[in-house]
Amino acid sequence: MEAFLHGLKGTPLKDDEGFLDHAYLPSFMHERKRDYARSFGAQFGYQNRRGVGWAREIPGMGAGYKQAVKANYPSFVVFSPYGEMIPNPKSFLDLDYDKKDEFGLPSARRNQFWGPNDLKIFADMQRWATEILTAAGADILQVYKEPRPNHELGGARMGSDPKTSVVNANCQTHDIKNLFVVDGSVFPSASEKNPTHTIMALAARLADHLADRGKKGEL
Amino acid sequence: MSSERRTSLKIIGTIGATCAFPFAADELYAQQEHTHTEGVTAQLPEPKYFSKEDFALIAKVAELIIPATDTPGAITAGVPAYIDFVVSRSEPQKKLFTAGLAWLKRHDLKALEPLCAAVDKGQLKTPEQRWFKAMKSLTADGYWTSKVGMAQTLGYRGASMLAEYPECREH
Repeated sequence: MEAFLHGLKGTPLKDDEGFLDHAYLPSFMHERKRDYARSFGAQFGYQNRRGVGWAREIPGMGAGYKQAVKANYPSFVVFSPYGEMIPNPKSFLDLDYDKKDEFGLPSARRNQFWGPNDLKIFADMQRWATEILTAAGADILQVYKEPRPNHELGGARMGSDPKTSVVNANCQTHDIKNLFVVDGSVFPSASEKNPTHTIMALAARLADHLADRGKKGEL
Repeated sequence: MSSERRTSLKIIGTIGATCAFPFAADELYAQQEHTHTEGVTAQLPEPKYFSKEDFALIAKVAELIIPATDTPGAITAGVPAYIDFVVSRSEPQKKLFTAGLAWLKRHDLKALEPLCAAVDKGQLKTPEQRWFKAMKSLTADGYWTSKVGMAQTLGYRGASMLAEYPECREH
């Protein structure tokens, strides 16, 4: 969601993005009554001064228009909730044989669908973001109409059942004994927060596991 | 360069070199406005797509959308060349601008204000309305992403360190 905060209109410009790219509002819905699983957090106030794409939509022309863009510039804020996508059996990756890469190999194709839970979270995100920005005193410029995917996760998800998952708890594929997957594709759901730390933790854990198994001659 | 322009540049130069800005924006605006027409033809580079005549007309419109005030306007920011470049690479934009230029040649530039007001109300029915929407978008994109637009007019300095982290006393 994009907005102009009334309290910041026409104020002296602060170029303070360097010390903090954005502020974070941690997940708060998981402790409240709701009709969906999981929750969402929100990132806001990032890259506010780096782009002025909204200036196209400021009405008028001439010196008045120029002044209006200048007055709004310090008050522009992006408020973006991020929610968790729970596992959806309809979403999958496959190979597109009609679209080959430079080596003549079929390219990966993403078949991603929003589930009912995702859409409920999204509707609640819109509601909360509107309420928070309205309470803060803002002209709301844009409410995104559709959810957008962010981090690419899943595709080789972890699980104990070979019928419904690709790797086991040790990131080892059910099908091929000595094949290990060590990236974000083993996530069963797409986390609401950035996944890099979890991917790194899984990699460190797998490295430890492989060293141990290697010593025992089990690989 | 005319002697009036020389004089106005000298005044602007003196302001920059010696003291904090002593004039109201309107006064300086008047000085720049004085050489406005000359600026249009003198500062323009060679167009890639438009004819020289059409390019000068587009530049005038860009400068009317974002004029020089206490900071430079669209022409100094290089907006006409940006529009020329974008339009040269896009068939839909070429169509919009062909229609827009035809309209411009039949109308006084004063007719731009009511056209802008109609587009602001969301009207995109006529070819000139659709052209003006594109014209204003390109002017805005070109100007507000230029050094003149971002650094001079908006005051963006890039990400800078905060030496202090004052507490929020309100809460």
